[in-house]
Amino acid sequence: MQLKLKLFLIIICLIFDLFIYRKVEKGKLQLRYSLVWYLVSLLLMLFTIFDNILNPIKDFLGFETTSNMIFLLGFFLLSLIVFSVYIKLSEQNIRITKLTQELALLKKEIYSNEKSDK
Amino acid sequence: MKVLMIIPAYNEEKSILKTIENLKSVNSSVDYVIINDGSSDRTKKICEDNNLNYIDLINNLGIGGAVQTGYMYAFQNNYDIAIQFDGDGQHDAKYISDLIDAISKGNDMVIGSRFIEKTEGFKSSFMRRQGIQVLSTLIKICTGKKITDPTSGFRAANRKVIEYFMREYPVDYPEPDTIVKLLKRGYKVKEIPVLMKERKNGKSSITPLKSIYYMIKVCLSIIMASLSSKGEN
Repeated sequence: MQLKLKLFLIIICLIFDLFIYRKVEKGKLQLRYSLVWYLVSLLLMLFTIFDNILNPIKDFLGFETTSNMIFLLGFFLLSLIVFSVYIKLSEQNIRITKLTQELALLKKEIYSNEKSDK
Repeated sequence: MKVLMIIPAYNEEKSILKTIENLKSVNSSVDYVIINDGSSDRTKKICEDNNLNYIDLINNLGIGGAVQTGYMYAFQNNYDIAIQFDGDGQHDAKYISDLIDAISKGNDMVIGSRFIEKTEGFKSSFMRRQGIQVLSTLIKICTGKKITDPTSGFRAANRKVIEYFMREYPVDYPEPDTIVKLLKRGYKVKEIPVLMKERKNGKSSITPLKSIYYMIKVCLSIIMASLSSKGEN
C-alpha cells in the first residue's frame, strides 16, 4: 500500500473514533453500542498499518488479492452487526408493545375506579 | 357465564358507534370492550362522548397487539368467554349466541366461518378466496384438520385460550397462525357457519400490494407454528 493511502485511511479512522466519542459523550450513543464501532475502526487501522500480516492469511484462505479478502470479511462483519440490530429491534418492539398494553389497562383501571367513586 | 366482546378499532370513527348500537340491540347480555389502537381519527373522542367501554392504546400496535390487550382485559376481569368482533360492521351479532353455544359444548375456540355452508352473504373477492384456500390447505397439511375460513376474525375463546393468548399472541396477521398453534397444543378448535357483510367504511388491513407479502408471511408463520410443537399441552 502506498504511504499516502495508508495515512488517508488512518486519518479517516481517527476522525471516526472522534465522532463515536463525541456521540457517546453527548448521550446520543450508549457506551456499550460504541464498542463494536471502535472495534471496526481498530481492525481497519491494524490492517492498514500492518498490511503484510494479511498476506499469509490471504494465501491460506485462497484469496486472489488482499483487498478481496478485506471486502468479503468486512461484508460478513457488517452483516453480523446489522443482524444483531434486527434482533435488538425485535426486542424493543416486544417491549414497547408490552408497555403500551400495560399502560392502557392501567389507565382503564384508574378511570373505572374514578367513575365508581363518584 | 360472563362473555366479553373484544372489538379492535383502528380509525373506525364512521362505524364504531353503529357497531356497538347494533351489538346491543341484537345481544344485550354480553359485555364489550373497544380497543382503540392508537387511531389518528376521532375514534377515541366518539368512545368518550358516547360513554362506550373502551381501552385506549397510546401507540398503534397493529391488530395482534390490540386484540391481545382485549384478552388481557378479559382475563383480568374474569370473563369466561372472549369473542373477537370487528368494529367495521362486517360481523353479525346474531351469531354470538351460536359461538357461545359451541364453546359451552366443550370447544376451546370457535370460529365463525363463511365457507361451511353454501349460503349467500359476503364471501370476499375471488383472489382472496384463492388465498384463503391455499392457507386452508396448508393448515390441513400441517395439522390434519380442515379449517375452511382461517382468516376469519369472528371467533370465540374460552378461559383456557384467553389465558394462552394473554401470554402469547402474534403481532400481525394473527388469525391463521393462532389456529395452528392452538391445534398443535391440543386445544379443540371448531368452526360454525356464519354470514358476513361487506365492510361499509374503512379499508381492509390487507391492500392488494401487500397481499403477496401477506401470503408469504402467513405461510411461513403457519409452517413455523406447526414445526415448533414443543409448547405445553
